[in-house]
Parts: sequence; C-alpha cells; structure tokens
Amino acid sequence: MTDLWPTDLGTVTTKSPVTILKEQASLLGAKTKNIVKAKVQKTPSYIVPAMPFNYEFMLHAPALDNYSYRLFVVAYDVDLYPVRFWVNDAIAEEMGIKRGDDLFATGEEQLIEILARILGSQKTRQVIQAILSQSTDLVEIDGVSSA
Amino acid sequence: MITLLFWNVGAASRPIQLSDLATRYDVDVVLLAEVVDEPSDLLLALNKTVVAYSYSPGIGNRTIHIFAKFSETYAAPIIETDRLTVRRLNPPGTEEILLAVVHFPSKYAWSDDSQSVECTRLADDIRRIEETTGHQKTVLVGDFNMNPFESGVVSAAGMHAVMDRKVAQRGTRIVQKREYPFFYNPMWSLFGDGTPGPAGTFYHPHAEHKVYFWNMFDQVLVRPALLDRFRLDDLAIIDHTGEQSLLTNTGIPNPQLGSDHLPILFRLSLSVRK
Repeated sequence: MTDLWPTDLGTVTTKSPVTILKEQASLLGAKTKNIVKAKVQKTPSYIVPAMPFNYEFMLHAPALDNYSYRLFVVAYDVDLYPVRFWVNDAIAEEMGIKRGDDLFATGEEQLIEILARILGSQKTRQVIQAILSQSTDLVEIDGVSSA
Repeated sequence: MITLLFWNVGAASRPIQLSDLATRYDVDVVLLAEVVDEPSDLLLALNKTVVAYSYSPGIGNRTIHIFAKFSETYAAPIIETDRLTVRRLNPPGTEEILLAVVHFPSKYAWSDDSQSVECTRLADDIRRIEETTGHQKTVLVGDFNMNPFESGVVSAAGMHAVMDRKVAQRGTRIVQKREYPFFYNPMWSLFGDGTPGPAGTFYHPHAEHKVYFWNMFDQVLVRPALLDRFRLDDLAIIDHTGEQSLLTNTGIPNPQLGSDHLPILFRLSLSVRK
C-alpha cells in the first residue's frame, strides 16, 4: 500500500494562539513571587459554535483561597486565525473599543499586539496590585514573609 | 435567618435611601450595582445609628458593592469578572453558602444573543466553583438585564432557571448526554399585577411594537440544595424605603428619588453550623 500522507505532518511551523497565551501566562508568577499567577484554561462550553477552541485567561491567587479573576476570553477555529477576543468593559474602554464592537486578531503579530495592550492595561495592573495587596496582608497575618 | 437586599441604584447617590432600606427591612447583606457613592460614604450612612455593617470589597471587581453585618472575612471573593463576584458566605455560626452577584450588560449595549452567551459562561463559572467548594448551596442574584423567560435564563446551558420549585427539586436535567443543574427562579411568582407589590423591577415603555412595560431584570435564583431554606413569602420587590416611596404617583420606579430599578429583598433560613 502506498502511503499517501505527507511526510512532514509532524513538523509544526506555527504557534497556536493558546500556546502564545500560555507562554505569557507562565511569565507572571516570576514577576509576583508566585503570589499572582496566570492560567489559561479551556472553557467548558462553546462561546461561538463556529469557533470551537475557547480559552479564558485567568489571574489566580493561591494564597487567597484560590481566588480567580477572568481577564479575557478568546475563541478560534481550526484555522487558528482570526482569534476573537472578549475583554472586560474597563479594558475595552482603555483600548478604545466601543460596546458591541468585535475585537479580532487576524494573525500572530496582531494577537501579540492585542495581548500586550490587555496585559499592560491599567485594569490588569489594578487587579494584580489588589491581589498582591490582599495576599501580602494574609501572609503577614500568618507571620510569614512574602518577600 | 439572613436577610439580603439587592439594588441597582441607577448611578445615583443614594446613601439615605439605602440606610432607610437597611433599617426598615433589617437587612444583613446589602448588594449594590451601579454605585456612584464612595463605599466609605455608604458605610457611614448604613452605620448612622448603630455600627453594624462592614464593607466587603471585591478584589478585581469594583462595580458590585457588598456591605454586611459581619466582617468581610466571612464574605471572601472566590472568582470575579468585571460583572460578577462570587463570595463564600460563611457568617459565624451558620452554614456556608455561595453568593454570586451579577450585573449583566444592558440591552442597549448587548444583543439578546450576546446576553445568552454570557449566561452560558456564568453558568460554567458557577458549576466549576460548586465543584471546587464541594457543595451547591448557591444563590445567584443581581441585575441580569434579562427577563426570567429569556433564553439565557431558561436554557439548560444557561442559568437553567425554572419557575416551578418541584421541577427545580429534580436537581438536574440531561440534554444531549450532558447534565445541567437547575436553579429555581421565584421571580416568576412576582411577575404581573396578581401579587402584592409592583409588576416587575424595571419599567420601560419604549415606542415600538413589542414592549413588556414591566420587566423582571433583577432576579434571585436559588439552587435546589437551598430550597428548603427559602420560602416564597420571604421574597419581595421593594417599593418603599420606610421613609419614602420609590415609585412615582403613577406607580412606576422613580429615578429622581430612587432608581430606575426597584430593590429585591429575600431571606434564607440558614441552619446553624455544627
């Protein structure tokens, strides 16, 4: 029997959007001494049926009874792009996105650009700082230094 | 017995009305949306005569405000978005419940379809939290900006909130091999003019063909695990603070004195923790 499959199927040349999100998520812990972590997790239900890959980007505070804050959600289909973003109201306002407008990344470069704006937004900073502040209080109460 | 009041105050300063409501109905937990007052000002108003309330701030959520007659330690946030805060409510001496408070986007900003999608996501969040905490003693309350009969509130993948306590008591329902837990939505019982009080919580007489006039955007949904702690008699749409009416002389919400939304009040007979 002749093998009709291409020989280079195992070679991945592009990063999937979720890989890019996970890479960025993995960097937060080191910046906050693991007080605030970021997690990318699959959403249990489809948001848009035509975009079956759905992920949410969560800020996570292990010291605060595993408190979580959802920063944004993305969805895409097997073509990987476009990636649709759902960001919260405060971030949308900072990014100049009107209510009801869709936010799409049509390629990797645009995905990274949007991601940079979300992660660098005042709202993201505010949530991280609030978690740090609360967590530090708890750690001090327990008599353990967070430094 | 714990008494909770939810009110979308309509982006107006309302410390006096809140203080009156809290006193008149002996509210233990005050839940607010669209607040413009500083929490400290509201705290001063709520504690005007007796120092009873503490502020239980969210961490990431700054749009829903909670004041309770117990320390914020007993209302710790578990998960939040900018429109949701879920608290582990475990005041001293009583059993723990999950209290989820939501303020969904308005119909001016979001389509019905988008609201339904948001309900699906909210339902996912709640199911996950219930799995993590190991119980389903959950109350979901807030301004859904949707009526109880809308798809996002009713559908299995959404809130799955039904009008009949007996149906809710079945616990779950399987659709396409997936199991979905019920909520009981007692707000159906307060809809229309067949019950005491206003016909809904939000009045909207828009100049178009399909208009309900009264809407029940503000709702409380109760999981079956808490149904034996909740009686329909312990739920009301509030139209008076005790000192002043929240309605105009034609009987609709008065935003000049209150808000375009009316508060909802409910009680839970939480059992004593052993």
